[in-house]
Amino acid sequence: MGGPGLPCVHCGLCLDTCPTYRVLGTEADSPRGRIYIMEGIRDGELEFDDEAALHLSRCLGCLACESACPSGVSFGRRIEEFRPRLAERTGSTRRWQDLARKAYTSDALVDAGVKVASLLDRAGLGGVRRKVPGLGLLPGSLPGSQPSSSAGVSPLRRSTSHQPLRARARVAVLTGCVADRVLPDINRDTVEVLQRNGIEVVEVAGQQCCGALALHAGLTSDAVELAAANANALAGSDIDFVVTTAAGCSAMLRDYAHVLAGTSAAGRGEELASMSRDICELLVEIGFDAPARPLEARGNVAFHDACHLLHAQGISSAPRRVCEVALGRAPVDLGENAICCGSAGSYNIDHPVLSAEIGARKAELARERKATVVAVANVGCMLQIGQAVALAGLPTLVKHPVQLLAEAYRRSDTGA
Amino acid sequence: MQDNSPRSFAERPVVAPATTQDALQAAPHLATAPPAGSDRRVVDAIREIVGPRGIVDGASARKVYECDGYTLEKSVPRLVVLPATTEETSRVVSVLAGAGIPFVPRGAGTGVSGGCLPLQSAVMIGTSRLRRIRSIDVEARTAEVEAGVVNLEVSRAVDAHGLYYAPDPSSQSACSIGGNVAENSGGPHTLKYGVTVNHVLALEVVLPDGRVIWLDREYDAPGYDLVGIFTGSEGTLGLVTAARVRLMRKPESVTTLLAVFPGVAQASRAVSAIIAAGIIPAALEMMDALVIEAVEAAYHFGFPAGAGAVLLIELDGIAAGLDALAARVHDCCTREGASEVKRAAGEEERALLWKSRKRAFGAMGRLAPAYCTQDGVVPRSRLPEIVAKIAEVASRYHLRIANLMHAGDGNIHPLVLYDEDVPGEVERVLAAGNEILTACIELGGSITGEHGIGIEKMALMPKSFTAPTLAAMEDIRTAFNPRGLCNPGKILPSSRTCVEVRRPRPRGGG
Ligand SMILES: Cc1cc2nc3c(=O)[nH]c(=O)nc-3n(C[C@H](O)[C@H](O)[C@H](O)COP(=O)(O)OP(=O)(O)OC[C@H]3O[C@@H](n4cnc5c(N)ncnc54)[C@H](O)[C@@H]3O)c2cc1C
Ligand code: SF4
Ligand code: SF4
Repeated sequence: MGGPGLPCVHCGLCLDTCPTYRVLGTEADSPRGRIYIMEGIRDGELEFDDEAALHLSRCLGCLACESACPSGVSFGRRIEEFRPRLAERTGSTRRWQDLARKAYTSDALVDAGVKVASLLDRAGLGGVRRKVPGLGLLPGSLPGSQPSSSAGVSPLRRSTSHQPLRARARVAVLTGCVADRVLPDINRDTVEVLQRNGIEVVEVAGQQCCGALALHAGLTSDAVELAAANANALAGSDIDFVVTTAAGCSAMLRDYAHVLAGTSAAGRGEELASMSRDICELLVEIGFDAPARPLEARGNVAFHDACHLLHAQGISSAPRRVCEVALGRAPVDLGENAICCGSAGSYNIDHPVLSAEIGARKAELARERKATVVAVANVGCMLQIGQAVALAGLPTLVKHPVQLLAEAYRRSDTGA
Repeated sequence: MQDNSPRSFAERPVVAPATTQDALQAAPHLATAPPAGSDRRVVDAIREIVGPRGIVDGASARKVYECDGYTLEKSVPRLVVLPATTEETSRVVSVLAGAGIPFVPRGAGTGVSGGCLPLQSAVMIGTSRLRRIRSIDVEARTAEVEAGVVNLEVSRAVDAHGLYYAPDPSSQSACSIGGNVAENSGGPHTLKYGVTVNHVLALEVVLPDGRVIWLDREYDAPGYDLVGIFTGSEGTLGLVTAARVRLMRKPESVTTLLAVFPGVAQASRAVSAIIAAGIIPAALEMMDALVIEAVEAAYHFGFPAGAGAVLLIELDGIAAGLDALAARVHDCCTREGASEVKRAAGEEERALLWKSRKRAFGAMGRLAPAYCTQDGVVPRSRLPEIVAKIAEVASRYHLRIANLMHAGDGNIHPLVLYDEDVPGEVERVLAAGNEILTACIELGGSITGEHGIGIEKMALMPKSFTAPTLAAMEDIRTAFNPRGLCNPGKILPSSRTCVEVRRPRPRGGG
């Protein structure tokens, strides 16, 4: 059956990897069903009405279906073609578009959100706050992380103490629009880990949000604009790699050749795509030091795969390896690792109930694994799983592998 | 209770003449038709039982249920119901039975014979929300699981205890236990461990009138083996809501060999040689050149270029002696012309080999926009003959046919590649499939090894069975399903009445 890329042969092997199908049980909320609906609309057999839009908009874009599909169907490309039309249709998506636009154009909004969240938390209203779409996800008292008290100050500028004298490589860290403001310690730890391993970290003027938020919200031209700005700023500068800590960003950068195809920035986009690395991927690629004293975790450290690493980029062993080195032993798998946690950008706002239901399963698994820490290499997943374990009343911490590594280095420094 | 006294099939009306039913029969059942106004009361009653999440009545949400893995015939269900418990299922079926409305069970829709195609305006009852693993008894090595539980999930749930659920259809990552029971599904490891019926101990069933019964064969129960009758009945006797299944201990040691042959003929002879040598491999699978091309494109295992056929041979058991057994298999293969025989180096290579095999069906999408999976059986010794026949049919009909076989049990899966857009191609696919299956019967085999009759192969039933045998089958169905309300129009040809099947739509561009 037609559509961009290889045909869907309707085998159904993708069904059970789809988080929305697993929760709802409706074929229209499965990859095979969504493809069928998109083809039906294209062939004029189905109307693109609210109902069809609902089923399509429930897609998390996690791409687990692509990993599962033996026929090589490019689900992501197919749904991407529909995103702008989807955005036009649904009011909630329009609200999200506004939010998304503010998120990548103004730091103030996100900072304000973080501030409100931590105020509510301090007032003992964390439980209520966690149920509010948008605010619920913000870390506030997310176990294991500090609320951002440094709004407006780039974390990059605050940590230069470990800058190596002679560098093995020069990298720029893509600071990200939302991630950087919500969980700034991750970028700070990233810089520290890179520097400790003899990698020079530089700041490149003119870099923007990667554009993934915009693309997902159906704001295609915004996405192209942001991508072009990044490509021109970063691909032209004197660096070896662009490092990201958010999986959605590295996946987006990797896709720049496609996003920028046909524009004047196409060549630079391709170049930038080849320079893009996830932080764990880069560490494993060029080698990194083992801490003298690895972290000693009581109980299990349970590793979860971020969809935009596993499914979008095929990265699975690198973040595990970083955890293993930081801990001195391999983490266990959280279980159902190929299944998305339900985070996915706007999802928490567009489909709060479904998102929470999908997330709740991760808390259940954390309980089953007796996990004291869940390690996952993506900010969005950290927020979502953090919210889920908090709502489930679990004491589980949620950490990025690079945070674990940074903590292990610091522990080794102090000898404590 | 009305009209459940068994009568011969021919005597009774296919559907009871109830007034609601009359109205429903008149309702259009095309893709975009909303549930007819007269449905309202029934729909409301059902909604009351299952709640808003258990009912699918919108146009696009229903349309996606118009076919399963068999895409040559399509029909949109008037309504899809997704009950979450046995009790809900039973109450829904009672409402439908009371209104005389037929229904069709659906699991994951990975079936490849159109088994869950809704005919006669049937309401579809899906098991995708019946997904609890109710209990696991490690000591007794059994598990009670609901019908919608995915096959592979059973093995995952008991993995920590060193146990697994043996029947492993290639669709096991998606298909449901209920669907497995309905189709009596097998898989690569059927050769040594048997099919679904050998691993089901008891079934919880909702009868077509809504009553819930347990069929139990666990302790050599006296009386008829109703579990045996239900397994493989393709949803025509009732709806399975749960099964108690047998779990197996994982073998101490496993080794997998890959043997490369110049052609299918040599590979088939090697299959016979292995069995003749008294060896029963855990699995003995064959893929021909076209299949190898597709899986190589998908999984890059590194099958030797230009291989005409490969055998995948798995041996398992206690570690001692496995090497000697592998050496004997190696000998059999080289003697029949294998150019190369190698053992999977480690668990990772073994897993990749099996992934290639299990996903081979799906990987065919890399070669053609669509394919039709045939499923036939021949006595193992006649494999070379059927393979020659398939090649001849392919060239005569100008079709490409790839061959995938559970060679150990003579179960062949010719995959007929086609493109809906090419005028007349669908017709040629159907005709070619018929010829191949007829040849299977003539060679002393059968028209299905594991995919069932469904809608696809009904016309071939009279070629496979005598009239009295078919009549006996109908009597069995009538006993359980007297009003023909449960999965009407399937398996037995005489019941193919008021079929309202839509031919596939012509594909648009892209
Ligand atoms: C890629 C691929 C590979 C496959 N490999 C194999 C293989 O190796 N071996 C094999 O045997 N089959 C195989 N199949 C066929 C198919 O997967 C099996 O028949 C499977 O058991 C169907 O399960 P399902 O849950 O998808 O059932 P469905 O397709 O939903 O239904 C199949 C039939 O069972 C009935 N049914 C479903 N659930 C119930 C229930 N709870 N109670 C009563 N009736 C019910 C339906 O009415 C229908 O007639 C394969 C299919 C695909 C697409
Ligand atoms: S991308 Fe994820 S949510 Fe969307 S259809 Fe695929 S598996 Fe389902
Ligand atoms: S696994 Fe691929 S080919 Fe099969 S139904 Fe899903 S998308 Fe289609």
